[in-house]
Amino acid sequence: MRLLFLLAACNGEAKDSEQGETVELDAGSTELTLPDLEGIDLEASFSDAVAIALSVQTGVAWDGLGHALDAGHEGCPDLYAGQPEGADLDLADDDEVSGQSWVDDCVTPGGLAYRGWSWWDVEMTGSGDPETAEGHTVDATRILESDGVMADNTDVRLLLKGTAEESLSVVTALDYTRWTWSSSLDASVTGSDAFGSDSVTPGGWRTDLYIQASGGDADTLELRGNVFFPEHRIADRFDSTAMELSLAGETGAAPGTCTAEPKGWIGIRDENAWWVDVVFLPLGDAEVADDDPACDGCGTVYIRGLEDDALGEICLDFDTIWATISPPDSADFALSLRDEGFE
Amino acid sequence: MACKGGDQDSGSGTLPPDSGTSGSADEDDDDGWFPTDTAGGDSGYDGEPASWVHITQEGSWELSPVTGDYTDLVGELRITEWRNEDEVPSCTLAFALTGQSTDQLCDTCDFAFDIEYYQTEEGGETEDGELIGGRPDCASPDLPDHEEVRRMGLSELEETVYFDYYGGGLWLPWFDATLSANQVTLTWAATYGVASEDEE
Repeated sequence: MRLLFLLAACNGEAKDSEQGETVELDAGSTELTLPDLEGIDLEASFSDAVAIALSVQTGVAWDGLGHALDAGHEGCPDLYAGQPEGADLDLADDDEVSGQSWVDDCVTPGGLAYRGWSWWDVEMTGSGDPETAEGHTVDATRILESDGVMADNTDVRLLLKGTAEESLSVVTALDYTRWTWSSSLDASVTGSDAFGSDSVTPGGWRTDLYIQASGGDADTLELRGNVFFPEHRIADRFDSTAMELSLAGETGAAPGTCTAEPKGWIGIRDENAWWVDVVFLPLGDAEVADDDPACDGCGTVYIRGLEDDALGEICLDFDTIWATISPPDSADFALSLRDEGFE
Repeated sequence: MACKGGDQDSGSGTLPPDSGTSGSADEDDDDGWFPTDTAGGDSGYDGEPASWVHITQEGSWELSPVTGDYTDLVGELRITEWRNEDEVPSCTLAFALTGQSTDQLCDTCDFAFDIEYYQTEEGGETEDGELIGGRPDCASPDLPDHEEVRRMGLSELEETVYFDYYGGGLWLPWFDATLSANQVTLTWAATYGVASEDEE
């Protein structure tokens, strides 16, 4: 019905409603009330959105799981070698018993409740000597799949539902360092064990975000996906962000191509489901030269769905983003039940 | 302002799709989204594991030279697993170990070696002709691969052998260990649940 009114208003004619009653199109009630962005610092808001996206990493879920296992008690939760009983895993190889898991619905003597299951697996290889020209190389992957919650009497300590994957390759040599890293989440994660008070999203998130980055001798970054943060608000108003960004730093870009501005877009959604988007250089293979006027770090702001009416331009500082990106420590990939079994 | 004009091509072809946005889809389903009710109800997860695996890993290192300042290591490691109360092991593996000392130690280690695990046995048959499973039947987490090299160090004070977890730089306690003269004895045992085979 609302759409009918809007279309009618655009045509400047009176239309019959579905009930056959004539609607007065001049009536104020048919006006579409656009979100009021007065007083919103959009540059800061979009910068916050990127910072939040960069914090949405597999390691958050992984660390939360590690805390959950550390807090367990013998027999609660039940620990499994391999895959959890009865779970239908998306990431596991059905032909191979691999990884480790917990499955239970139990309460420890200390009052911690576990319910559900988690399964995880790690593959890691390391070789070489960082004091040589060839250097030391670590290749690591970790995958996690879960439908579980841990809680005490007052708080959800960890809720972990979905899948998380991460890959890391690091070469450390005498005169250079090179790393590539990707994190892919399709998960809901919350709880005090995963999100401390200093977290940028203390209430956790639901996300399908994919991050790929490289650094050391070639800075590149890709961000693609959505993040919903149920408790946090950007600028006290925006509860979600979505983006598709591709950016190369000075060391990762082809000579003469733009490094001041990414390809792609960033969106932030307010609580009334209005999306505000900033659009940068077009996605695709075509490169923009660094002396092209379009390579200015500035994007055009729209309210999604109203792309004929740009709200203006804002400029974000992408030069400083590289200092905020660092790969996870490969040592953090370790999560073994070696000390958790019941001797 | 709220209406599109006649020209449908806004020239902003890179605008994002208007679908698949977080928070808009699946938010009302019962798919375990915030908040989660952690109380009551039969989750179906409160049963005992359908099957258990009992694991023992036992071995030894012989260090040389016997006078100390060890540079080389030879040894063995045997892994045996049993399911539930079965008397016949479900899996056995044996490795011959050779190692060279390294100066990259864990904080509390007295010495460390890069040790190659050379698989010498896998499964077999009991005297009664019952089959013992090999590697595919093993459930032990973090089994060494054939010819895999692992960096391991001994803390004599802690009576623990640490493993530089796959070369990542994090040393995890791996074996209970005792050093006597130039001999190190390694043991580790654990019991885990395992998924029943018909559901794997």
